[in-house]
Amino acid sequence: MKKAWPASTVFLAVQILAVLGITGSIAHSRHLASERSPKLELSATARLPQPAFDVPDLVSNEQLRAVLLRLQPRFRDKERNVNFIEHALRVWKHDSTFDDPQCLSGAEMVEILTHHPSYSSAYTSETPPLISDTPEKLDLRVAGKNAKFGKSASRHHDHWLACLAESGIGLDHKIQTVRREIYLRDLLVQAIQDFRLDDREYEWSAMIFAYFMPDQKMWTNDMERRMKFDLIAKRLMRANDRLGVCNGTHRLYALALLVQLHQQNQVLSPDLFDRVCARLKSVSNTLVASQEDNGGWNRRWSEGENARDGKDTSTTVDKILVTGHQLEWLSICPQEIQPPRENLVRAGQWLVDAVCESSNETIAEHYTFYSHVVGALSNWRSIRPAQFLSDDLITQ
Amino acid sequence: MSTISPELGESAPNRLPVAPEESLPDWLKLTRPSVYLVVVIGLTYWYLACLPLWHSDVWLQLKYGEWIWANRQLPETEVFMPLAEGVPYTDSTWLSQLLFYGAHSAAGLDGIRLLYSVTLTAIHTSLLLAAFRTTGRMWLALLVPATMLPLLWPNCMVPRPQLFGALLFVWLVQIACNNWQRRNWFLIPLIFLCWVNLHGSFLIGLAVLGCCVVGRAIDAWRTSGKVASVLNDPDTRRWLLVSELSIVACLANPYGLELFRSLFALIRNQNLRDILEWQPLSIRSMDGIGFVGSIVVLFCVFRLSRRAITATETLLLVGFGIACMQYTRSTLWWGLLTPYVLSPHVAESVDRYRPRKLYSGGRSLRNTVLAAAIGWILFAYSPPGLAMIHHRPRKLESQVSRFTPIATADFLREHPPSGPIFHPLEWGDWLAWYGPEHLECMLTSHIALVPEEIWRAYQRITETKSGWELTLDGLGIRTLVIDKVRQGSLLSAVRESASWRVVHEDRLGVVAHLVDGHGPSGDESNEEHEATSSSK
Repeated sequence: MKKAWPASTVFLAVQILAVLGITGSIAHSRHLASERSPKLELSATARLPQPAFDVPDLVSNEQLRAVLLRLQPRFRDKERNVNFIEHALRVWKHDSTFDDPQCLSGAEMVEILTHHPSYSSAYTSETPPLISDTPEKLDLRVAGKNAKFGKSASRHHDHWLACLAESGIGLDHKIQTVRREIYLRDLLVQAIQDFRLDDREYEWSAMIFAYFMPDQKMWTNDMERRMKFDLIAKRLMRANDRLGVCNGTHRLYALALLVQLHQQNQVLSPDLFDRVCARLKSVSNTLVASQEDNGGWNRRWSEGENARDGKDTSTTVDKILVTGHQLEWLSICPQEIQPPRENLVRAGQWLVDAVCESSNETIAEHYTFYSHVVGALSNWRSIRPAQFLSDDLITQ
Repeated sequence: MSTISPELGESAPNRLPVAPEESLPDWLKLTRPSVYLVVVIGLTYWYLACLPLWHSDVWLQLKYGEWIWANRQLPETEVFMPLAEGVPYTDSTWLSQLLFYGAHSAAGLDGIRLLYSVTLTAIHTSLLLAAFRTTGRMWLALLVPATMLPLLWPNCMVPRPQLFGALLFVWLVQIACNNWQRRNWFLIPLIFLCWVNLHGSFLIGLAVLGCCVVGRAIDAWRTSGKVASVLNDPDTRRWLLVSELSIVACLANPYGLELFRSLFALIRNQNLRDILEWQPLSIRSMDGIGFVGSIVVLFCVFRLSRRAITATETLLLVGFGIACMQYTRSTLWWGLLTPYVLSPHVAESVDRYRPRKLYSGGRSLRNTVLAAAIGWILFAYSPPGLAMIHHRPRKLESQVSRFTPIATADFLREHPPSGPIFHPLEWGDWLAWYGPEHLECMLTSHIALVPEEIWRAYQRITETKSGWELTLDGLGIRTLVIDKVRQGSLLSAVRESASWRVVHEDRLGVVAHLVDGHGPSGDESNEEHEATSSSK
């Protein structure tokens, strides 16, 4: 008859086996986790797209000066609108200064957006903070125009971050929330964690990822979904051209940004890079077909020739919105994707005329639309608008 | 012909010659009731093998099995739902997927049917034999598991990895209900080693082990009245140690501890809350009625029985009962567990009224031959048998359920759509397997892997809620596959819409394409200043 092992021996053997098994498994799990969630490599300052064109035919110095003077951020005595400030800041930059006392400087605009006491002094005591900072959640308040406290909120998801990045603010910039001092980096990390590819708005998220994570090949959100620029590019190309914020033009801007980023850092797979270029080229061809005789584009631009059937109901302001946005994304595109220069020049000239003919009230009411004209025309001359105005004044 | 043993030579003239049958070991000679059992088991197999394959679940398992085999690695993220690209996928059923794929590679769909029917037959056989051994009566052996049929059948209709888990669960419970045997030291960890790689339900098995440890400890304490006796109780110690070994065995999977974390995350997944089997049990449903019925049966049997209810039985029944109320799908485990708990009590009650008669019939090789012949005939004339032995393959239509959208998938194969397609959730797995290569299905049965926004979008489109066309556009969907029976409102909306054109219609489904240049009107999408925030 076989002799049974002593109970203590069996007990000890099982414990040793259990400890070895669990220790090995923990090590294995850690290895898997590190593979699944690579460390974030954030760039301290945004790597912004560099305009590569200087086309005086599109807008001459005089025309540009006239347009920029009309579109300065004259917000000092007006009701503060966060969306307007964000738009102004992104094109005029954080270090801009103006001779016109009605204009807010870049530093003042940054202060309003990132310093809670400065922000709250512009609104009533009931206005909720722009940066919602609770122990559970760090987030930007986003609301529609007609929502309660809508004007004191950012309008689009991650738009605030994208605008600050484009203004030249770095990740080490201090942010004063209701309860503490944090850094822009904290809000960026939160935005990376919160990002949902299938949300309705993703254009500005795509932009901030491109600005601050140009070297990151893969990262994860708080649902552990693996994100890549490939995935974001596919998302940007998924929906119909004519839908989306500002008639789908922000998607095109984000795609153009990815093309430029890829040319520096190869963040896209070769196949997807080709697809993105083909998509942008196709849009470019559509723009040639849909351009109105006067040079502008209307809201039905994505319909090609049909957009010129005379049935379009776009107002001049609508056309400024569309044409400004189109010229802006085209300004950061490789030349082979752009429409012929003649089409671009016509569009630029139409924009100049349209802005000059706009009343001050219209500009004030639709400042966000007009701010893209600043961005577009400055890019096509490869200048920084505030710098251009101050240099121009010195020359004069 | 008779043979004479060398021992029976002249030196042993008084010994009778031994017949060859008597020299055979007992296990090779069956009793008459064993033949009846073989008939029952054989008929069970034959019936199950005749069932057509269900149109969901199994096809995705095949697809993943094929992927794993082709790539010689496990998928790290979801593969067959482009809209869920990048979502991490912990493949807790990789071995089942390979088994399904292996069966399919070997014998086509008949291989799957064979695997399915053999697995279910094995479950049935285990239940039957356990009840027969406990009660000693054929009719009770048939009756006790049959009372759980309303709970078991809805969970067993579809060939899926869970069935392998069910088989291992039955074996584990069987071991747990018997006295401790030395072989349990390796049998139980071996069960878990297989289970953890076949299906995520191994957690249920660990729960059973937990009940066994605690239950035996309680029983030891109740018997002696001393807490210290719990530590000295050999049965408690054995179950505790074998549980530890089983946990270690469960770590022997490609993900290690990570598998546990991902399974707990799966249980909490919000998408699954919309799926019936993950919802709390409704008393009005068939499962609910079956569950209440089983409790009534248990109550009656416990009232009649004079056998003490052990702490392990109580813990198992209470634990799994609560699990059933939380998740409808737990009724499968309840239905498999209850016969084991019921049988000894039923046996005790019946034995009191009519004492058990010991079987007096003999064993014979003739019974074995008879059982083997019956078994062979039933296998040979089952559809998988006909295909494999007689090489009589059958048409696809007769091998899969009549709800399988074959014609719809055939149309898609002839006209492969570009970009993601919308389709009924239940058809996703079939379309992923049978549809054209690189078909971009919106959803498969891996609902837990689908981003919540996509899942909500699917519901919005199916229910044709306001903005359903915008939702489709946002997903880049230009092709709709619609179930004519279950998605009537969507079909009507598509027929009425100028943006969609029906390009195919068959008995079950409709395919519609987005008309070029058409699309939803986007009153919410144009204005920069009107666009509302994304959902956070």
